[in-house]
Amino acid sequence: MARGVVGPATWPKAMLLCAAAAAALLALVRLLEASALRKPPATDDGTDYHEGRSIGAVALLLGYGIAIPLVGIAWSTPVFIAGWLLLGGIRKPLTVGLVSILGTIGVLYFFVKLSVMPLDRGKGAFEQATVALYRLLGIY
Amino acid sequence: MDALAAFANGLAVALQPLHLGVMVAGVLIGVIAGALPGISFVNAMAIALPFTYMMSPLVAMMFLGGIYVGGVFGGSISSLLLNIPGDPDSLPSCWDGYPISQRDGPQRALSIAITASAVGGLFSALLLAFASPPFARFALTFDQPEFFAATVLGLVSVLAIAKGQLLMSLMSLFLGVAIGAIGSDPLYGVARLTFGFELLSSGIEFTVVMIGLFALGEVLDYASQRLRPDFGVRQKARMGILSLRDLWALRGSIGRGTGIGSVIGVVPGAGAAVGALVAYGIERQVNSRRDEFGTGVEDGLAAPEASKNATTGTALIPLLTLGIPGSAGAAIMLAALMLHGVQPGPALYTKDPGMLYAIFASFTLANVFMVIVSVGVTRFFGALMRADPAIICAFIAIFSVVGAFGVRNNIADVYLCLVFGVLGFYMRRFGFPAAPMVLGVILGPLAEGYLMTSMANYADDWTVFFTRPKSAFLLSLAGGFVVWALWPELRRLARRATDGRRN
Repeated sequence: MARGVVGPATWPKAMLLCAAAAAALLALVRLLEASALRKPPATDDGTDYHEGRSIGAVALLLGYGIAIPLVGIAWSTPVFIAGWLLLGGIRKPLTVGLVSILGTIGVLYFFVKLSVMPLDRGKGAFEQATVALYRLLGIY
Repeated sequence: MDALAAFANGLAVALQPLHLGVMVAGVLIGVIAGALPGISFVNAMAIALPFTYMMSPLVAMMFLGGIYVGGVFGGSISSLLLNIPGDPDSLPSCWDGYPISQRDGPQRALSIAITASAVGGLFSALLLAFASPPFARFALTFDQPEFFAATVLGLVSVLAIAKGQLLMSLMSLFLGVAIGAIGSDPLYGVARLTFGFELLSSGIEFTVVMIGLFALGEVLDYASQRLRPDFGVRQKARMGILSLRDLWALRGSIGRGTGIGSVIGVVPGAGAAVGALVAYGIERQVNSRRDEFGTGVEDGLAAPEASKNATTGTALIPLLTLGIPGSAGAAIMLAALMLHGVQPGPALYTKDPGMLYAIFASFTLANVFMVIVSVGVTRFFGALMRADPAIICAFIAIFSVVGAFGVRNNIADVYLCLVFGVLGFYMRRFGFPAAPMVLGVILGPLAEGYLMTSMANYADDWTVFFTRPKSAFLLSLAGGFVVWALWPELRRLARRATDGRRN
């Protein structure tokens, strides 16, 4: 098919150029702002962030995503919930344990049993353990 | 008469048990999500989106429509009980609503809010049902260049919600459009911006971007804050609807709010927050008790409440007739239609009017059921608020991850969703707006498709966009909008440059 004036690369190139132009203009504004005020302009809304918690939350979430295909959703989810609750300041073992286990069972029933979604079961021994767990819970 | 008959048929379809149940479930989810501070109904809609895969397009729209209608009101519950707006559009409800709640009890404030919201929402839903078909008939005269121009207008509408972050909003929008261009181009099938990654060759699903930026970005932001909003309310509240006498006493503010919200809803990008703020501002100018505003004036609560729900129905008019979402909620509904292969636009009114009128009827019913559901939710609100936010956020994260997986049953979408979640968190943290990026990802591919087909159909003559009157009008409107939005920023830039030289 003969390509016209607007080819496959025209649109993305134009958008990236526009984004670069907006970024350059923004940098110029910030530069002028800084030189006029003699101090760097404020960039956030004053929300107080806890760096450690921030890194922990991002790491936990990314770790959950990486763990799903390896150990399966059934085993990674309770660990994720427990980690998230601990990160959120919940320290009572009973609360953490109950919410993690019951929450995971609820998630499995909802998505695997009711919605029939083929959620990852993990690899090797984890897959066998997931199938055994599903049988135990009556999901399979 | 035809429209009335079609609406009656739509009502019959919407009242079928399955449809009614799904709509009520949506309203319930929306009211709860809206009421929880920090978790907006837009997040709830984004999380719910992949689960609509298993539904028909009609059921999906009823479900999401329910969340939308319920969520827009839900934010007022925490505004009135806690003085914490559940959503940005419920902020004006705090100003007079919370003082009413403290002075006359939460029941009075909640009753004013739900009645005004229901009136505004019902009027807006009826406008959607009876005003959008003539609009669609006009839009039927559009060809590819006009659709391109209309989509460009939709894209630049993001400037309306930029709120002092114009350049960052523009950057976010252009990057969103570029992200939407990843994968094969719509005309020749040539891969772009894949950087050799197999998972990018089929493009990035906008649902994944939406869940990541909105839902995961939100939970990460919440988890990272040192001081987090306290959900620990023990307040018990009851509410009902206002008596006819009370409603009559507030007719002016509810009427004005409804009118303002209905008009603002049609403006692409404006949404409920703009509607509520404008309605409060105007009410403050015209009301005889304007000097007392902020101390618990009932008109000051009724007007923004009526206005924000009045945006819900009319926001769907540009969506269904032109494919331009009028708000973030409408953008997710656009995504839902596209997920099911339904292309919004004037042709939809001739191809499947039955489905459209069932959606209109469902929107109307949702505003009625919103009252009943909200009465129930308010009673359980105290118990719900006792749940630790960390628990709520953990499950939002799990639902988001599973939802992203469900888009194509592909773990690659989970990875992309997580990447966008982290990106959304840092964007939020550094004041970089995420909504324009989402709009770009959704509308960008449409705009590119219309551009390429226009050029192919009109022998690569780019002047076609300016020689066809409707296309030229829409593009000049878009251009005018850009100049109008950029002008204060450029003036500020010039002033800063002058100040810099003086110093």
